[in-house]
Amino acid sequence: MTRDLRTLHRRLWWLLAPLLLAALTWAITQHVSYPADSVPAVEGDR
Amino acid sequence: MSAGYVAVQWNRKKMIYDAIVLTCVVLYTMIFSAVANLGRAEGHTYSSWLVDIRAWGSCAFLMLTTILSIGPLARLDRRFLPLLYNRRHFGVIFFFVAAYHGLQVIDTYYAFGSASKWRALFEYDTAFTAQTVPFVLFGIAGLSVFGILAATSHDYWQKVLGPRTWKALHFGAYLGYLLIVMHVAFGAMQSEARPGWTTLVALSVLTVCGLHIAAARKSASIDRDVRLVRLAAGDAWIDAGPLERFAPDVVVGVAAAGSERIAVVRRGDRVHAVSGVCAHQGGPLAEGRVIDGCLTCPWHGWQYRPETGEAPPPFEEKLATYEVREQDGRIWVRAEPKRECGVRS
Repeated sequence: MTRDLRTLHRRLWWLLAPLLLAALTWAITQHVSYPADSVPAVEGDR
Repeated sequence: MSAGYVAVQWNRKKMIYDAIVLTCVVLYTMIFSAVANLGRAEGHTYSSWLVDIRAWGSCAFLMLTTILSIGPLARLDRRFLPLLYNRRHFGVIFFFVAAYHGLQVIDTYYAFGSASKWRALFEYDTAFTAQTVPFVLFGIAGLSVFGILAATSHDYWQKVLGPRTWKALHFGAYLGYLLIVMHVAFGAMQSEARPGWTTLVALSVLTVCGLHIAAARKSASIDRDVRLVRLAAGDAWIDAGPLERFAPDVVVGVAAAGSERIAVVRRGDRVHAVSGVCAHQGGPLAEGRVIDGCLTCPWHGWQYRPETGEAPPPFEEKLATYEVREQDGRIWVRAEPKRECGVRS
């Protein structure tokens, strides 16, 4: 790659990596809270 | 290389590569279904259509993770280079697998209403009232990005757009990956109580991010390793290191601050230096190898003679060459090229 594309590539990843990790963390937080918050408990349902 | 175009340049190795990828796709989906059926026998209620959707969707996600890992892996360890040569074929097959997953979803969830299934796809939750993020829209956006990349993957588009623009356009794969991660993380991962999908997404994100950052750090260290000596106005030389650094037919990359890399090769008792940027896609020639006496780009195998910077006939590309001299047991490369690259006249 040319130097400018290498620089662009590096900067893209310094931006993308935190975004991806933030999205993953957000999704995991949602996942943990989702069943308890949204699905009402049914008596006798195990 | 540049001698002419045919619609798809398949050769025996590419056919074997494609056959292996397609076989892996079929085997993966069969194994996924078999394992899901085992779960059904244990009392889990998976519908066969859901199993199919998940099988092709997870297959596409794993393929995308692999495709995005190949580049940095090859930069970190040359043994992965053979995977890089046909990455575009892998990418196009990935697009078709992902598109098939999308068609399965549309035919399963959107085909039974009064409206057109394509219209229903975009209208299913326009008020954004769903409790989770509207993951389908992320899937559509991601698939659209990869559709553009697959359609422009041919060398024809590279020629039309130019190597730099084409490569910058194909950095769009990273945007596509972000969209697909959102699609999976707020789609399949949310509705599955067991940790399989969470583990898959987390491993994918950590692997792809970790490899790219590690490769970028290695690449940056080559660019920083500059020992430039300016002897007189307009006459700058790069200290490429001691002569022992240059084993026969081993390619060494050197760079001047703010300039492109230079590939330095020793052939017999002479040392040659040519531009480290391949004329094809701007590939890292300085990380290439010498094959049949030619400096060979690690990306797609384009070749140049180290002595002249010229591609062997019938190809016509030529790279800039640099003056080299030995002084006190060290190799020096002139920072300014002898002539610019282009096409042989």
